[in-house]
Amino acid sequence: MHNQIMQSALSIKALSKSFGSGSSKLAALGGVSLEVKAGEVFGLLGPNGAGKTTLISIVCGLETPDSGTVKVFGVDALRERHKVQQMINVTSGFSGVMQSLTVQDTLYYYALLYSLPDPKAKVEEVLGLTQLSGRRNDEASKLSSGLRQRLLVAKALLNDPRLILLDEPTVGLDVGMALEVRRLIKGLKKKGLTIILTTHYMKEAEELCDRIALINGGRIVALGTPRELKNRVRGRKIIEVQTTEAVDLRQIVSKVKGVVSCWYAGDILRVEVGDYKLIRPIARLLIDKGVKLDMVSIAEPTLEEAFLKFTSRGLG
Amino acid sequence: MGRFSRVSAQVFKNYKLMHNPWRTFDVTIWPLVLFFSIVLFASFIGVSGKMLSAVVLGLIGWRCVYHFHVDLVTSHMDEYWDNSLPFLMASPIRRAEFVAGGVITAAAKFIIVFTLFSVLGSLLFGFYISDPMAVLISLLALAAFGIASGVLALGLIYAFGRVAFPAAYSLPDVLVIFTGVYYPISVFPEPLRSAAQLLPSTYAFEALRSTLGMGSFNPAALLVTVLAFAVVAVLFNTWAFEYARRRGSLARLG
Repeated sequence: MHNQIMQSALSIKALSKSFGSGSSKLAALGGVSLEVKAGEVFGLLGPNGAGKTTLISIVCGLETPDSGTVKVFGVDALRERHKVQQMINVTSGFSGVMQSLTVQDTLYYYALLYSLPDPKAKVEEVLGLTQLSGRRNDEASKLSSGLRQRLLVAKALLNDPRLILLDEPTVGLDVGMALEVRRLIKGLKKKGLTIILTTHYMKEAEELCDRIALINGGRIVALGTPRELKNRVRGRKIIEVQTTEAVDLRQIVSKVKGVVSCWYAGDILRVEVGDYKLIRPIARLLIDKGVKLDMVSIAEPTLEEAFLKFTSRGLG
Repeated sequence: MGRFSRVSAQVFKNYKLMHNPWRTFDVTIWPLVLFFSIVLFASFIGVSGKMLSAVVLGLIGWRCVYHFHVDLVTSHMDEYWDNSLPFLMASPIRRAEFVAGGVITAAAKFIIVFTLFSVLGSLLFGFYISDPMAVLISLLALAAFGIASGVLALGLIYAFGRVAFPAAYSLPDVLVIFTGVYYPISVFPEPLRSAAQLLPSTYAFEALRSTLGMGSFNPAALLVTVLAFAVVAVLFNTWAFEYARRRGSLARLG
């Protein structure tokens, strides 16, 4: 187990990729280097167009880079594409399966594509694992988005991949379905599979990932465990304010001397202050203005804040 | 084992998609409409005997090109339309294996249509095949042409994406103008005749007609043009595939 964890599942060095030419040339990846260890769940987080999908597409052979190297368990993914494709699998919240095939036929089709020695037995196994046995005869077009996502995960497990690339696996799912898919991913993690996950949901990344790379403008701007990333924004002092009243508190709170910025995270107002002692004057001011407060507290930095800081999105 | 399995994956997919009634029309309703519209018209204007057999052979030959071309393109487009193309392209399948799967499916469909045309032609219009071996060789040449034009069309799709879809589908119908399906190319005006001489299908249709004692054909020209067309198609397809991977347009995950 120790050896497995130490082994590099994915090694990317100085990976560059640009699209277009001349003045319209766009750098999708600008010399990205990273190592993913065997058995870890590695998150790739970044805003739209940051280069996450380009990176995953290169690893699974859909695109070629301009320069750099990609090795999957020591195998050169650029020179031995088919060998690597046999070792990995990919699923994406934006892609689908053949709509008129049944769940079982879909999995059998992919089992054949991956040349499995006993495709029927493997299909049965993943149907059971993803609890799709009862839906085996349903056409893919008739599945709910959550079941469809489960089918994609089942498809991604067929070839016992050493590395799974999950590109936004919970995008567009309702809370319950997303929870189900996350539970499934946790199960894979327990089995020791190496997973690369891209997501826009910070809570999901924090819940599932051992390490996270924040990617922006084709570059990795921060890399670490969720805790490490959050600690890097710990220098900021945040106070949280919550009220059930339909009033924009930003106008009031921003007038307090020492308030650096304030913004809403859901229905909670987050206030960056120079000193936590400002919690008292902020609360006092709001009460004086007749605001009925539900909660005022000192907040822990979140992964979302780390994301916003490192991707230079600003706050507020 | 691996190669066979990946080829059979394509055959399996195409077979399952045939369960859609619309897909079965491709080997039933549409060929029958084509058959009766052409053959009845030919009968109406007084074509019979050997000449009518030549018309039926032309229909069979063109349907051969059509199935091998369209089945390759459709096998790719099915994945595109259902947004599953990234998963196909990220799997270990080779392009040659994908093509092989499509060819097997196309061959099965063509055998159905061939049987349909032959039986109906024979029972209703006195159609006959005088030299089965020569007809088989001609049809194999037309199948090779259909496969090559399908491979070429896949290259167009890789390289130019959606813009190429109409061209990829209509390629065999465009080529039919330049090839003598029912008549010798000597009836063409000069520029068209020169263009027709570059197409292997021209010599294959001449070969089909020659089995009925209608003119002769040039086996060397047939062989050379089939090989040349196939080489050009494979080279273009290979270039287009790598071009699409460089441009990131082969299949998009996001």
